Amino acid sequence: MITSQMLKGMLEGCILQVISMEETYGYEISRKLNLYGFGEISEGTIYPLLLRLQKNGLISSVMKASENGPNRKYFNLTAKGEIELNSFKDNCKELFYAINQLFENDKGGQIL
Amino acid sequence: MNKKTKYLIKENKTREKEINKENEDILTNIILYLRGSDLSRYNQEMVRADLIDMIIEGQKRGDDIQKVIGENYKEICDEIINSFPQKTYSEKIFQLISEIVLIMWVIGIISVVSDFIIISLITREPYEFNLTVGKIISGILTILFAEVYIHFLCKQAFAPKKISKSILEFLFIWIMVFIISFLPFIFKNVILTIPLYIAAIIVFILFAIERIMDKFLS
Repeated sequence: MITSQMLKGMLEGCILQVISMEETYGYEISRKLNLYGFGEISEGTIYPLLLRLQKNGLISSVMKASENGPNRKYFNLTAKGEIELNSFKDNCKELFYAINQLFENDKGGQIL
Repeated sequence: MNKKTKYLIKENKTREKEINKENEDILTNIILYLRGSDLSRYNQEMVRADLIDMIIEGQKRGDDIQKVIGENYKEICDEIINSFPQKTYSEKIFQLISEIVLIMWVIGIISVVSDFIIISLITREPYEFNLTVGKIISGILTILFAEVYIHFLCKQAFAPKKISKSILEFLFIWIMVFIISFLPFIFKNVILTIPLYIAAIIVFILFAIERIMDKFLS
């Protein structure tokens, strides 16, 4: 299980990745994260992160009518957001590499 | 308050009617908590609009507010508050002054109108406003009580409701109202006497100042 403490700091980048795939809205983002194995992340948890991403100019939003409910706020990645996402991916690779190294070492491996 | 904020407030009130009672109670607590934060009124209403959208859409899916917003409302509210720029020290002081001026013009209207009624119907004295020690102490106490109590209410938005706490709160409010109402009848020493119409003009000036400050704050 991925705890909320572990997710902190990673979730913003993961949301950027979800938005980069296609224009999407809050509930859909939470559903997609769930499908990717992040567990139940409520729309309310995502909302402040979306506010922050938008405030920092990494995503933009547009209101669109939904089929049978209120208007939805759809999010898109901005150019600045793309740069941030690429940087996040690079940082993740470094982090996962370091963690793998650590776990390998735990099994008796050598630090490279 | 600017036009954009007023429009959002009106729209939110209309759309909130689509929310069921149970969800609405929790949303009210969330909004109350946000009211006690550093968020500008416009940002509060913007967040409220987004939350209303989320809740209504959740209701259509058959999800309650707990599933939509998450279980820890306070933590999510704090996250929302932190995602907006925080008010500077001078902005906080400006807001406090605006709130004090608001309370002053409200007390002012009550005093001027009540003096007018008393003079017209009972004493038949000249139309004058007497600023007494009791009125000043009562005014200061009202400002302090209003500021502290509103802050307390906002911060306690998610605290479990207990009957004993509600009774204590009720008693405290009425004791304060009693003290504030009776102080002017105890300390009658007159500090300043001005014609009643001048007092009314001062109240109007305070009202205008508060409105201008509120526009800046929005």
